[in-house]
Amino acid sequence: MVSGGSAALTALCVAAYAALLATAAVSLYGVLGRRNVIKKIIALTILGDTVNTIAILAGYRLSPHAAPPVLPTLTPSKAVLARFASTAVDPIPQALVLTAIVINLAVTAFLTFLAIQAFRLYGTLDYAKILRLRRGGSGG
Amino acid sequence: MGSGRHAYVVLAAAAFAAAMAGILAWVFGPPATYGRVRPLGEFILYSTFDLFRKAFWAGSPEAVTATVWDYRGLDTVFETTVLYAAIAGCAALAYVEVRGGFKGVGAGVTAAGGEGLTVVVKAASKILFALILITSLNIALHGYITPGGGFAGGSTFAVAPLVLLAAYSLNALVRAGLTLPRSSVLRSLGLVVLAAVVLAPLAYYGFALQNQPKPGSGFPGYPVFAGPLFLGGSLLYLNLSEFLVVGMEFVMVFTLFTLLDKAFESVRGSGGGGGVG
Repeated sequence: MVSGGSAALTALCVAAYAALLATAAVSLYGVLGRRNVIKKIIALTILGDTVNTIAILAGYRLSPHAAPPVLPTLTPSKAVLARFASTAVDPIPQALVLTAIVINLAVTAFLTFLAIQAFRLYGTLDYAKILRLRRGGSGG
Repeated sequence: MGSGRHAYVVLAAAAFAAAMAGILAWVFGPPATYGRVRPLGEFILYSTFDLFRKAFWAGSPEAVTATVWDYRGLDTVFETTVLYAAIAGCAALAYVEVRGGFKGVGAGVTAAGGEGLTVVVKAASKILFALILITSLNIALHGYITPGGGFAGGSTFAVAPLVLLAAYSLNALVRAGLTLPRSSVLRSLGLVVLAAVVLAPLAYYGFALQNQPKPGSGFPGYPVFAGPLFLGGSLLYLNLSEFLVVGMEFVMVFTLFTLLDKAFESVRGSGGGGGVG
């Protein structure tokens, strides 16, 4: 039911998903497993970008004739509109990712401020050491 | 202790990967949906510039910007709120450190004079600054007919102060007029314009965030065609105000980072070990 070209496209897409899932798993390990707060933040940004890429890929039209979601004319006929709707990729994931990138940037800046503050107070970026210093300092 | 913790982390990562794979298998069944997108996406693609059925159109041939500010505009408004909260959090955290600097960024820093890198780097970064400014404005201004928009233009503009900060110092940014209070005021101005464009239809018994005329609403819609000009409804104004908001918020963040660094250096220099005890 699927021709040779479409099978190759599907295989390519599945391979891209597999690579993105592997990246997501590794970056999740970075967020949970690393002790250095800055490394946690770096892993978090990689995780965010990976999820954004997955969203974009989920909205891709698996076809050799996939077009960008921008209508190339200001005087479209009904046939042009129908062709546009049946060839352009899904605009919704792109719209969500567009804003998500900026939010990611702002949240990363906020987390970095927190990390700087933690380093100023405790002299270390090691999560376990910060916890130990906190317990020792406040007496429980 | 180490191996047990790592086993837990690996297990969590594997569970996450499995969950993601499950979601993807549901969202995306390759042979069944080959060459198609989801029905909602197809509806937006068809109706975004559907001149023959204007009840559902957004007045813009750019389906992504139409989705951002018209079809799913409420999402974007709340995302702007998240952005605002994150930057407000940064400012609140930094305020503890640079209490004095907030008032005196202009005067105190400029008096110290301009340091920075070599003449070559300075000249190149000046040209780059102008180019980035023009490019980002272009991205924001044309966001309703070509790929781009307020978010993309704003984050492109965010690189410009970074170039100045790296090649010169905070002084250059202050001398260019981008002080912390001024960028904060410009950011608020962008938010006010955005809110005004979003709420204006309510005055005509329309809906908040309404762009084009809709059944059951008295609002005539923002102009799409004005003589030879193509204006694209409310998307143009929303893109420009969002450009101001995003760009100025990142100028604030980079200024705060630099000030925090300075405050931190002075604390380390005089106080020694800080609060570690």
